[in-house]
This record gives sequence, structure tokens and C-alpha cells, in this order.
Amino acid sequence: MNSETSPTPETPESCPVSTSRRGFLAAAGLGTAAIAGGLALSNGGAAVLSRVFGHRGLPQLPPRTQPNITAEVLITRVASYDDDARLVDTISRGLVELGLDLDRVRGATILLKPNLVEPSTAAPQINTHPRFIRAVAEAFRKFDAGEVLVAEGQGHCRDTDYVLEQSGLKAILDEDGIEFIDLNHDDIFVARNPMGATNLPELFLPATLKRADFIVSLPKMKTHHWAGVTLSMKNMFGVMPGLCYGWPKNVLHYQGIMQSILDINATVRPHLAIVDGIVGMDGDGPIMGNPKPAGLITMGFDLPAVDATCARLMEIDPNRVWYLAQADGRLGATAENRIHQRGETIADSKQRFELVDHPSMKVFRD
Amino acid sequence: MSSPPPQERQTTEDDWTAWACERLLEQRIQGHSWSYRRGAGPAVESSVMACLALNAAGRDPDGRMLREVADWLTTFQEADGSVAARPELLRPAWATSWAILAWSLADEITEGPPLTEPIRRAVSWLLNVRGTTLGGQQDVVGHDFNLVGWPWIEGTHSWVEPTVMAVWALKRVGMENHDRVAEALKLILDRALPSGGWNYGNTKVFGTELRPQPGPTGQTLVLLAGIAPERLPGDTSAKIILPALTYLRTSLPKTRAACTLCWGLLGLVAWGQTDQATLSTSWLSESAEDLRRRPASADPWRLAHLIAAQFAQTTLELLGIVPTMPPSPHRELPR
Repeated sequence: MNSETSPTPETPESCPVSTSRRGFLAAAGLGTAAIAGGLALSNGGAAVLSRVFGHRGLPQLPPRTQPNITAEVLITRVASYDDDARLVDTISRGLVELGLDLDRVRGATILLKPNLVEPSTAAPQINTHPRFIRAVAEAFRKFDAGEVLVAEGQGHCRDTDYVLEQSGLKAILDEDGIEFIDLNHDDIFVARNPMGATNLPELFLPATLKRADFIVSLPKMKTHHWAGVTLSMKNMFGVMPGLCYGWPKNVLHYQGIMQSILDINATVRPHLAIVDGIVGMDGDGPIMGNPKPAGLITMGFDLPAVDATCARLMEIDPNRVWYLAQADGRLGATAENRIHQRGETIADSKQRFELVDHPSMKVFRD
Repeated sequence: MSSPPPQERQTTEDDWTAWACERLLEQRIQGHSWSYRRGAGPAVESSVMACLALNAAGRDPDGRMLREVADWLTTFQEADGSVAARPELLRPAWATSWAILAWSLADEITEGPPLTEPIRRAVSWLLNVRGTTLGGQQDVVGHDFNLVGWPWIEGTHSWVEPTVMAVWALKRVGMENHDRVAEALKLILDRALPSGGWNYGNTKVFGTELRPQPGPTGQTLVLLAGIAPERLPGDTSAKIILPALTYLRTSLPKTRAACTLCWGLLGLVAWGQTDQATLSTSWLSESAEDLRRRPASADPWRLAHLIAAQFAQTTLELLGIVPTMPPSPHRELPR
């Protein structure tokens, strides 16, 4: 992680062990009303809301310091994962078109963060496709990156090898000689939480993030039965170590999924998003939904802009996805008139991603 | 899943365990602990798992390494009795269950001052930790939200794996009749998937049954094998155990992931499925071969699981599962 994006000042070096140990107690809010209160739910809808927004209600966020921020997002069409060379070419061209600073990539350590949720050979729509990950790695190697890593701290299954094996990614990593880091069990450093959407004053992060010069979020284009959509920002949940936050990152669910997404992205500040929408998922995502062959790759350096574009492509209004609406002007651009769409147009490429059939989904779509 | 070609094999099924034990021993940190990953910092769970494996393999005959881990754990036990997952942290303390297991085992099989007091304080802390319950109607999630087990993190909901770990620990120190254990067993049975096995804690979400996973299924089966049958409902065998074993028998042949293989195989062995255990020696050997080809992956966490699975009967005894399990008709399962 370079200085521009480092979540310092509270690094391991500056954070004494005793402070670190005490810090988590405060960070987890243990012994506070945040945990004890607000759990008496009257119906299933309330249960959904508490999962989405936690048990503390909506937070007071910092002001939007960049209300006029603009961004560029590229939409491209790719029908399948079958042609490795075409995938690499599409992604490479896209990054160049978006203005990737090749001098900055040369010799750099690139951390690819895919969306690996659960091991299942029968449902490849759950995880970022292994050949998509390979293509992105190859693109960065073509740009003379010094090192390309794949790293994930998957939410449910503690056995990373099982997830890699069943998703087909292990074979790809072995063939291509790409290192994989299990972020759930990585060493830890502590970073100040600058957004404060949750009441966690610090976030515990995996040490491997500090090794990376360039963090790339590689999500699957999916609906999500709590958050509406899971794209490049929600994908960053996976950097949070399960060893500290539990499986599936229980502390963050209690703090509120939406708020946690903001805090994680504000702290980690990933550099780039490339969304695997070749085959996405709709319905009961992020695990039990149906394959949605959308044939799209969407990419950009501004993660909120990429996610807002994807939401529009999925026919979901990003303004109705709380964390996207709040990210606008704080972490990036989500307003349609401030996103310059390159490549395909939203109008020509959008396709309806069905949401799970439950009244709570009215939040996201009438 | 195919075996590597014979010419590429560097070990036999008999000698991979020696290789794995040596690699595990050489990654010991400061004479008292192990990390999850090569070169990383020490962690409680990986240290206890390494001790279990080495003891099961007979590589710690006088229990010296186990005692050293046990003593190391006491150095960062908090005043409230909890033990954090890593020594530099205060929380989370789900690893307290692992510390109790290690202390209990060390007290039993090693020489040294009794560890009664650390155990007492840790048990006291563990009994005070309760997974949060959620009242009201639950039309979204399928399991019973009002049953109390153990969470990964204090102040959050209970999940299968930490609940199983906590019950193991309490059972290991002779508290299997505690009310918390009784309720935890109800929770574990409630979280069983209708089609067989367990995932991590949910059964259905938005009406859809979730997928079972072999690791948590194996861990849970190990625990239930150590529970006296009269403490479980009469239909447990037919409704829960047998479908879970069937799931493991179909899912395990398709994986060589070390941790998943370990817990899946221990689950089968605990329930007398020894035909699968025999087959498993080649699976474990293939998994070890994979680690040999990728030395960076031959870390304490993976190695310990493979070794523990290879010596499954002894591992179960060390966990306190087999010796306390009386013969029972509910363990007689059809092939």
C-alpha cells in the first residue's frame, strides 16, 4: 500500500501492543449499548433492516467534501470466459483507455481481491470466475507489474484451500504461478477509521494490504439479499480478517453492512475495480441466486462510480442503495451526470437483475 | 480428483507423515507456538492444533511441547479468563475454547504445575459469553434465533463452529452436563440442514436451504459422537447423523483441501465409518504431495490438520471424544 492510500497513522509500529489489545475491545464496542440494545425485533422486515443497517440506526457522516467529483467508467461486452487472449486484451485495452498510469504499475505489487464467497462447483456464479482473475493478472503482468497477488478473506468457509479448489481458482493459480494470501488468518495491523459510519474507531486489517502498491477489487456482478447489490465496494468486506471479525464478519454485520462498506472503503482506498459481469447472479444473491449471463465487464478507478454504473446496468437505482448514495461526494461519484461512460452505453447494455422476492426489497426497487 | 503420476511422487503413503511432522516442527516459534502461515506471528488455534497433531503422531512423547504451549497460553490470558486469538490482541477471544482444550490435555498427560486455575477462569469466561438472541417473528432466516450457543465474537449471534468448539472445551473438562451445553446441543441440532450436514450456522435464508459444508459437518459430527445418546433426541441418528454422514461420504472424495479433509475424516471415524478412513490415507497423501510441490503452502495450519487426520483415532482420544462415548445403538449405522 503506498503512502497515498495507507491507512496510517495507527500502524503496528506506532501502535503499542497494549494499545492494540485494548483497542479492539473498544473497536468491537464490547460491553456497550451498541451490542446489548436494539435486538427486540417485531417482524421479519425489521430483522432485515437490522441486518442491513445494524442495531445503531443511521450514522452522522462527515460532509461531502467533493460534491462535484467526476469519474470515468468503461463498459465492455464479453460473451464468455472461453477465450483467455480476448479477455486479457479487453481488460488491457480498457485500462489503457481509462488512463492507467503504466509507470506506476511497472515493478509494483498488484493485489487482486476477487469475490470468493463459498465453495461450490455447482454454482460458479457465486465467485469471480477463475479465468477472469487470470486475465486481470495477465494484463498487469503485460504492463510489467513486479508482482501480482490474489488475496481474499472469504466470509463463510474457513478453509481457503477448499474454496480455491472448488471454485477452480487453485488450478489457475498453480498453473500461472500466482501467489494467494489468506487474509482471514493474516498478520494484523490497526488503522484509524476516517469515515466513522460505524462506531468502530479503528479497523483491524491484514498485513498483506501494506505489501500492495495497487489494490484491485474484482467483484462478481450480483444482487445481494441484504445490501441490494454486491459489487466492488461490498467486495472489500473480504479484506477484513475473519480472525478478528468472525465468520461471516459478524462484527461488521452488527455494525451495519451499509455503514461497514463505507468505512472499509474509506480506510483501505482500493485503486481500481473490474467487475465480472460476464455471468453475474440475480435473485437470492450473493450465494443462492441464479446465474445471470449479462456479458459485461465494467471497470474504473472510482469504485462508487463503477458500482453505480453496474447498479444502473442491473436496473437498480443506485440512489436507493444507501451506501452508494452516501459514497457520492465522499468516496467518489455516483450521480449519473458526473460519470463519463466509455464504451457501451447503459441504455444499450442494461438488463434487469431480479431481486429476491421479499417485501424488504422494496427499498431497492418498487 | 486424480493422483499425481507415479514418477512425480516423492513420498509414499507411509512416509509423508514423517515429512509433515518435520516441517511442522521446524516452524515452531520461540519454542512455544505456531502460526497459521509460514513466517507469520503466533496464534492460539494453530499452536493447539499443532500440539494435537504432534501428540497424535507420537512426536511429542513426553508432552513437553504441549506443556510449553500450555504455559505460553497462560502468559496472555486476561484477568477475566479469556484468551485472545493472537497474543498481541485483547479480543476476539473465541480461541479461549482452544486454550481450555490445551490446558486440560496438558494437565492430563504432562508433568508440571496444575493448570486448574487458568482453566477455571477460562471456563468462567466461556460460560458468561452468550450468542445474542433475536426475538420476534423470523420469516427471513430459518433457524431458531432464541437458542443460545456461542458466537465467534462477543455480542454477536451464535454460529455452529464456535458453539461446537465451546462444547468440546466444556466437555473436555467434565462439564458436559452443564445447562449451557444442553442448550448448545439443541442449537446444533436445530442448525442441521434438512438435506443433511451443516454449513456455518444458517439453515434457510429467504426460504432457500443453504448448502452443507464438509468442514463444519465433520466438526459437529465429532462432537456429537462424544455425547451420550440419552442426551440427544431419539430420532437424532435417523434425522441428523445419518444424512450428515451420507453427505460427508459423497463430498470428501472430491476434495484434497487439508482442513476440510481433516474434519470430515475425523467426523467419519468418530462414527465408525472406517471403510472411508482406509480410503482416506491416499487422500491425505495426495494432499501432502500437493504441499510438497508448493513449499510456501506447507504451513503449520495445513500440516497439523493432515497429521491429525492421519492419526484420527488418537486425535479423537486427545479431544476427549472416544473414551467418554459409551457403546450405543444410535452409533450403529447402515453402510
